Amino acid sequence: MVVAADGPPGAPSLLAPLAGKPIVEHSIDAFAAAPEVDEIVLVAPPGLVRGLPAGRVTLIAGTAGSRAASVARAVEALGEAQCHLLIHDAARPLIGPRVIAACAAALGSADAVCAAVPASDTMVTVENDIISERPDRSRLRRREYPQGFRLPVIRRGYELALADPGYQPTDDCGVVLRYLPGVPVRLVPGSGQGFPVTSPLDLDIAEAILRAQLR
Amino acid sequence: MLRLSVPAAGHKAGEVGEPARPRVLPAGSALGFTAREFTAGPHYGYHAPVRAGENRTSPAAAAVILASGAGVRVGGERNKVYLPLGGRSVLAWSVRTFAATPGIAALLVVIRPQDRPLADTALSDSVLADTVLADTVLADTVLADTVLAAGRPDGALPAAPGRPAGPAVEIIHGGVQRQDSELMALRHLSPRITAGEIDVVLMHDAARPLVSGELVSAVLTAAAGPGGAVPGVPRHGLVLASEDGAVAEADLGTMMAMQTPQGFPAGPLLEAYERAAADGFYGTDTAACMTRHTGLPARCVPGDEHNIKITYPHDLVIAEKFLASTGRTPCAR
Repeated sequence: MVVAADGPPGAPSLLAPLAGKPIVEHSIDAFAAAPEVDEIVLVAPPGLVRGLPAGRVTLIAGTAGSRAASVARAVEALGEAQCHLLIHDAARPLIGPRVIAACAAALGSADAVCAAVPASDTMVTVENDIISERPDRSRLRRREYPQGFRLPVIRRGYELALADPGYQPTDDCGVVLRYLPGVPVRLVPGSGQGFPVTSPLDLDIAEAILRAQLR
Repeated sequence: MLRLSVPAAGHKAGEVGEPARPRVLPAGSALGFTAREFTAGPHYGYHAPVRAGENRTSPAAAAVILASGAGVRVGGERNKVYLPLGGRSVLAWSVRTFAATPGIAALLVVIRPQDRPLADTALSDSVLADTVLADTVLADTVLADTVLAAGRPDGALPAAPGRPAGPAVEIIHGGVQRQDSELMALRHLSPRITAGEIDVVLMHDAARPLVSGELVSAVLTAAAGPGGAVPGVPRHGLVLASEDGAVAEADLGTMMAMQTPQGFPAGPLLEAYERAAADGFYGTDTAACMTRHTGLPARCVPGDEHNIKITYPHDLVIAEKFLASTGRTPCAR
C-alpha cells in the first residue's frame, strides 16, 4: 500500500519529476518489481491518480480527511483477507528491493514489522537545556518505511486510534505501538535512505543520490 | 598564514606508530597564500596568543578536530574524513571553518599515524588554497569592515599586511579510542592550558564537515559554563530495540541528537580526562567524561540540521548539496 498523503507546506508535489518520473512512481515501481508483492494499493487524492499511467496499481483508494482516516479506509477496502500488508510513504522515493524483501520476509513470523536504522548520533534527553539522560545509543533506532502488518492487526490498530479523541497522528507503526502494546513490532534494517522528500532541497538530494547510483 | 606544523611534544615514545617529524610548509607552497591575501581572508579573526592575566572578555579556545577514527563504513578502505567533498577533503572543510572563527587560538588535528600522507594532502591541497582566495573576495568587504567597526574586546585587530596570522594547524597522532585521542590532544595542549592561554577546548568530529562558524562561536560562548556546552537537534519517534530486534520501548519522547563541536572549560576537561585515564573509564562522548568528573551536566545549545555526520556513502551527496544550498560553493572542478 503506497500512501500519497499531503506533505507539509512547501513540499514538492508527489507528481514532481525525480530522475525522469514522478516521485510517487518510484515507490510504485519498487513494489511492482518486488516478487514478494502480489498487489499494489495506492491511497491518493484523485488529482494525483490522474497524473499516473494506469496498469500496475490494482486498487486505488481515495483519501478521506486525515492520513490516518485514509489509511484506515483503504485497509477496510481490502476486506477480511488474511494477507500481509506493507505500507509505504510515497514521499520516500528511495526505496529498494532489499528492504522490501526483508520486511516481507519478517512478516512471515511477526505480526508487525518496521524498517529502522541505527541512530548515528549520541541521543540524550534534555530538561531545561541541561542534559539529563543518555540511553545506550547502540539500541536506538530511527523508524523508516516500509512498515508491515498482518491485516487484522493494522485494522484493529486504526479502529482504536480513530475512536480515541486524543489520537496524535504518527506513522502506522506508531498506531500499533500505542494502541496494541501487546503486539511485538519486529525491526528490520532500513537503508538509511528512507527520508521523506519535503522540500526542494530534499528533491535535489534524492536526485543526486539516484544519479550517483549509491543504492 | 596558515602554518602547518607537527610538533613532537605531547607524545611519549611508544605511543605512536612512528615518530612525529616536524613539518612546516613554507610560504609559497600549496597553502602559501600571501599575507595580503590573508588579511582579509577567512583568518580575519586572528587572535594574538592571549596571556594569563591579560584583560580580555572573550575566552580563548583550542579547537581539536578528531580525524583518528577508522571511519570506513562509508565505503572504501580509506578513512572517510579523507574522501572528497566539494573539491576538497571532508576534513579540510571543518579545519577551514575553525581557522576562520574568531577566538580560536590553537587548532589541532588528531590523525592516525598511518593516515599521515592523506592528512598532509588534505591540509595542503592546492585546491584548498584556490578556494581560500575565492572566499577572500567576499570576506574583504563584509567581514573586515565588521571587525574594524565593532572593535575587538581583546584589542586584536585583523593582521596587518605582511604579518603572519591565524592559528597554526598542529597535527598530532591519536590513540585507539576516541577518548585516547582526546586525551593526547589535551596533553599536547596542557602547557598552554596551565599557563592560562587557553580557556576553552572545542572537540570536533572531522566527519562533520559542514559545521558553521556561527555554531562554533555559539558553542565557544556557552562552553565556559561549568559543565560545558553541546549542540543538539531534536529527534522524534525513536525506539529502543531489544536484543532480539523487536521494539522494547516505543515512547522515548523528544530526544536531542548530539553534534559537535562540544566545548568545555579547558582546565576541568584536562583533569577529567587524566582522571578517566587513571580509572580506565571510557565514555560515549566528551560530555559524558566531563560530567562524570565534575558531576555537572553539559548545557545543550541549539545545533544545526546541516551539521550532519558523514556515516553512509549517500551522506557525501547530501553534504555536497547542503554546501551548495548555503552558498559555500564547492571548488571549481
